[in-house]
Formats: sequence, C-alpha cells, structure tokens
Amino acid sequence: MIALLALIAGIVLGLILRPELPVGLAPYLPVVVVAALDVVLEGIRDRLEGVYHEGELLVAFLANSLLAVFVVWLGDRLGAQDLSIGVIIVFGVRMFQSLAAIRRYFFRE
Amino acid sequence: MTRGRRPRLALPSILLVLGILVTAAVVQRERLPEGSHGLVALIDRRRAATRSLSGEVAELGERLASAQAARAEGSAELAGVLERVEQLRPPAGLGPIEGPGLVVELRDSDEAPRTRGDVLDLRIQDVDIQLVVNALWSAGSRAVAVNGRRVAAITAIREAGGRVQVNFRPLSSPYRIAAIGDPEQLRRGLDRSSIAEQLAVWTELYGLGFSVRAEDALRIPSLDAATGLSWARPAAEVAP
Repeated sequence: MIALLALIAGIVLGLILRPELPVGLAPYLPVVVVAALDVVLEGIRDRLEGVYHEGELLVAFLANSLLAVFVVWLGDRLGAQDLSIGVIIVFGVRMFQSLAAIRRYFFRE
Repeated sequence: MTRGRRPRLALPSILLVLGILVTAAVVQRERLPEGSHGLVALIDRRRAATRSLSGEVAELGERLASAQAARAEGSAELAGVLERVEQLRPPAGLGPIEGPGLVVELRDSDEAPRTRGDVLDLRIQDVDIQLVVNALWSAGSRAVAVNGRRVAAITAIREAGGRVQVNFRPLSSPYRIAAIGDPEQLRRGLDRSSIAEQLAVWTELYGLGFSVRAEDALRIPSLDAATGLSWARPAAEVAP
C-alpha cells in the first residue's frame, strides 16, 4: 500500500518538478528504470517468500543501477552501444523470472 | 527488532525513485522538438533560410554593382579599380559565368570490388578530379565547376569519409566537371595532360567512366561557400 502510494507520489513529483536531465545522461535513464523495475519485482517476490530484507533490497537497487550504468558507459567508450540492450535484456529476463515466482507463490498457496 | 514492525521503506523509496525516473524519461521525450520529425523540419527550415539569404546576397550584390557603376562615372581612378575588380572576379569564383565550354564526366566503376585495394581503384578519387580540374585550368578555362559547385582559387577538392568533397560539400559519382572556355582549346589541353592518358587506361582496366563533350551553353554558378580570405597581396612583394 505504502509502496503504491510512493509510486504515485514519485510520478506526481516528476510531473511537478519536471526534472531536466542533462543530455549526456539520457542513455543511462532506460537501464536505471529497468533496474529499478527489476528490483521492485524482486522485492515483492522476496516479501511473498518471506526472505525480504530492507537493506539488501536497497543495496541491490543501488548496486544493480551502478553496474548497469557502468556497463552502458563502458559500451559507449568501446563503441558498442548494444551493451545497453544487453543490460535491458538481462533485467527483462530477471523481471519475468521474478514474476513467475510471484505467480507460483499465489497458485501454490 | 522483529521484521515487519518497522515500516518497510526500501521498496516504497525505490518505487518513488522509479516513478520520478519514468516521468523524467517521458517528459524528456516530449520536450524534444517533435521527436525525430523535428530534425526534418529543422533541415527544411534551414534550407528555406539559406535560399532566402542567397536571394538577399544576390540582390545586395546587384545593388552594390549599380552603386559602384554610378560612382565610377565621375572618377577615372575608381573606374580603373572597378575594371581590375571585374577581372579578378572570375578566378575568385564571384558571379555566375556563362558561355561555351567542355564537360568532363567521371564515373565510378560498376564492377564489384574483390579486394580492399579494389575499392579505391574502382572509385573516382579526389586526386583524379583535382588533376582534371588543373588540366582544364591550364588549358585556359575561365571558370570550372564540379557537379555545379564552383571551383575557385580557395577551393579544396578532397576526400573525407570516402566521399569527394568540393568546397566542403560531399559529392557523388558521376562527377560532372564543367569548364567554360574555347571548347577546342580546352579539349586539346586536356588531351595533352597525363591525367587524360591515365584515365583512358583506367577505363579499360577498371571500368571507370570517362567522357568528354563540348557544350555551346554552359552556366557556372557563383561560389557559394563562405570565403575565409579577406585580402591578399602578390607574393612577389614579400620575397621572390
């Protein structure tokens, strides 16, 4: 519930503040969004499975975002822009795995 | 501390960040001028601006010429200077020139390259065009243009990124080199040049296109590139 309110609050905040991102940061935005989505699904899964841990989730979000940004940055330096697609695919696969685990939890109960 | 008592803030805070990020991404996209269509519109606008400015340049040039002519009537000195300016205008690439002349067409080969070296051999290169232009100049042409781009004293014919550029604008095959002057004289001069000899061989070897024809009425436009040169004086004044 709080989580849902926080999401709405975030969207409203974004609409009000209209944060202007420097153009140089634009390539990193999608991977961070995907990383955040992945961590959210993982958090829900952990909560349902009873292994949820506050700190771990925060660390997971920060670490995953940092690694994703680093990989994209590296890809940019190496002239391999496809690396960001790789990051998005990896997070996408993980998101579906988390979703499958959540689904399994509900149908096994 | 037992789990669950404390309000769980990690997930909400991540969702908060997620919300802000997604909104920022959406807002960012909207802020771009009509997405990628914006670029097309931008190019169109710039082209229109270029056209209207070119028209303005032509109009101002005419006004300048008539003003100079009006002044020159009263002064012999000014008339002399203007005459000299008039002589210097064609080599500087100023003002369009019309008249009979010669058209040399160079074309990349249709053959498919088999090796890396072939790629260069099968293509007309900047040097080829330079040499043909030089041959036409030395044969006495008054003005030369490559694909409608005036070649003046400050023009560079060079290759960048595999494309031949004249006045820093990319051109592509076929290259039509037009020269104004006596067609017969130009043709003789070109025939004597070593580049014509080489091109004749290369057409056989690599299938490059090389054709020359005389035309009664050619029109070569004025130099439209920005000239960085403000003034110059003959080198003889400095050192022989």
